Amino acid sequence: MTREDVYEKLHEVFRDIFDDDTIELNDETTADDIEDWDSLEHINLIIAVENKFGIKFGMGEVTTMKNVGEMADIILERAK
Amino acid sequence: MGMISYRSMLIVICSLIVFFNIKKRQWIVLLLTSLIVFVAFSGIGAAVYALITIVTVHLAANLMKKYPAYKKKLLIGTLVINFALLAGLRYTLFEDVFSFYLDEIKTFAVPIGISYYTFQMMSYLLDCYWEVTEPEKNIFKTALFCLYFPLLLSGPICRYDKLAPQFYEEHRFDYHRVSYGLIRVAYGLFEKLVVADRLDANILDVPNMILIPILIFPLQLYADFDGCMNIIMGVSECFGIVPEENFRAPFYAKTIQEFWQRWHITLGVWMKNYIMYPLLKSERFIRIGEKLKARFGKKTGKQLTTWTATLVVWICTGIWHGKGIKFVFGQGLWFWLVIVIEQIAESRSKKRSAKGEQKADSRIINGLRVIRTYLLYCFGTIFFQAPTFPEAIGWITSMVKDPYIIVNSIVHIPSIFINDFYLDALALIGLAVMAAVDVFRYRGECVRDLLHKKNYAFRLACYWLMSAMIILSLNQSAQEFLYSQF
Repeated sequence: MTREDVYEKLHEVFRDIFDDDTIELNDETTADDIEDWDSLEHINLIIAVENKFGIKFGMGEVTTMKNVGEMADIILERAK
Repeated sequence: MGMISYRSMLIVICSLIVFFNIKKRQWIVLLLTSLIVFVAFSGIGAAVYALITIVTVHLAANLMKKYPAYKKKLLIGTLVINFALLAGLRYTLFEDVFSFYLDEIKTFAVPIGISYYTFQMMSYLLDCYWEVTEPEKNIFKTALFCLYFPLLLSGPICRYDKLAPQFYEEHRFDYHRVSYGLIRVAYGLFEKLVVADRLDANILDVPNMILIPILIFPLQLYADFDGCMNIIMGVSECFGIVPEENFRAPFYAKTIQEFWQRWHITLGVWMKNYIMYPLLKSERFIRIGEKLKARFGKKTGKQLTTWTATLVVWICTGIWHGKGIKFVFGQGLWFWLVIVIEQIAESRSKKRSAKGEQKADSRIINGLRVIRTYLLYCFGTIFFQAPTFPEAIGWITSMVKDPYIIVNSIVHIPSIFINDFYLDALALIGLAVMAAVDVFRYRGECVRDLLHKKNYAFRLACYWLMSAMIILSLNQSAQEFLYSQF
């Protein structure tokens, strides 16, 4: 799986969770850039991403992930 | 020993002098000061309980890494031991079972701030379990993280990876940093001595006017707790160690949800990271979520799952505040209920705004939202304030049944100043200063930076007035901090 494939799927998940088709993600995107991305929505997002990619994030990763770039790194690492 | 006392001040000054005069292993000075402060506040007997927490957490964190097969058992065992200890000492749950031994048990004092350091240590243990942080090999360093003296009394509850590395950096004396720290300590003393203790001394003692104490208690609580935090943070900043912030102008919040993101922030973050997220990520909750989504549709199903998890979080927050239904309801269930209603209202208003029906919010509307949030918080603190749950209900029903009480309270507001007009006027000026400072804190601006940019005469006038007001309020000994009882 390439980074582009990961981002394509991540776009689908984010747009579905936040109900907003205009969301554009990049490595630097954080919760501050998306209006509805609060602490409650964060965990729903994590579970949706896990389901989409068939992977599991560790609890530590859930609380320390800083941006979408880090999320993509973990997904690529797990999908190897 | 009180926190605001000459002895405390002397300990901090001596510690600062030694700290800046040694070049290596400055953390040992912090540890020794922490041990002195712990014993001075809690007595030597209470050290046994702190020792149990330090030893069990230190051993478990290191053994988890060495024997991964036993990781889960070590985690659960240590959590059970420490939470049982906390519950046993804080709530004396075992009163009935161990009533025979209770007198003997009580000869040992309960360590001050036990809920804060237990929560902080459990956060470290869970971070080690989740491999967010490496376990500390030196037990004395683990002890310092547990007992670091500025945070001992009332938190904030800090994460290991944010706090501990700061202990081992080299800290040289820096005039700017120490003066900034001292300004913060002075502002904390101002909040505590000029505002919180005055509200406590006079206004809350007015009989037959229930509404006034109810409306004023949250301000007293804030001046007290935020004052305590500013003293703690200021002292810690003098040493060059910056803990996480605990308050960000909560009374300017427009919703209760926003309020709790600004009030006792580190407790909220703890509950989110160590209770809510693990719950929502557990297989059981994911299954419940799927069932609810299938039954009620995607959006409602998702909301219902989140609300179930936040219900557990709020019950825990209530229990953290104290034993009994008054805390579980007043500091837990009530706020959960309000937040659920707020979220329903918000999703409806979003639907309306999508249709283009909603106008931009005016300053008046936002002002009314701030007042509404304050009143909703006041309602929750009735249960905090009243001695028991039935008494809190009694206060509320008496106001509903007899609106005259409300009128009587309002009419008699001026009479609360009869006792000591001079000091109460100072308290009111103090409240106005806090309101002004919080406007900047709400925006995330550093008030000390803003003052630093002003000219010297203006700054000097501000600091002189603040000091004068503190000194004028010093004719009484400081009351204990309300949140140190946790």
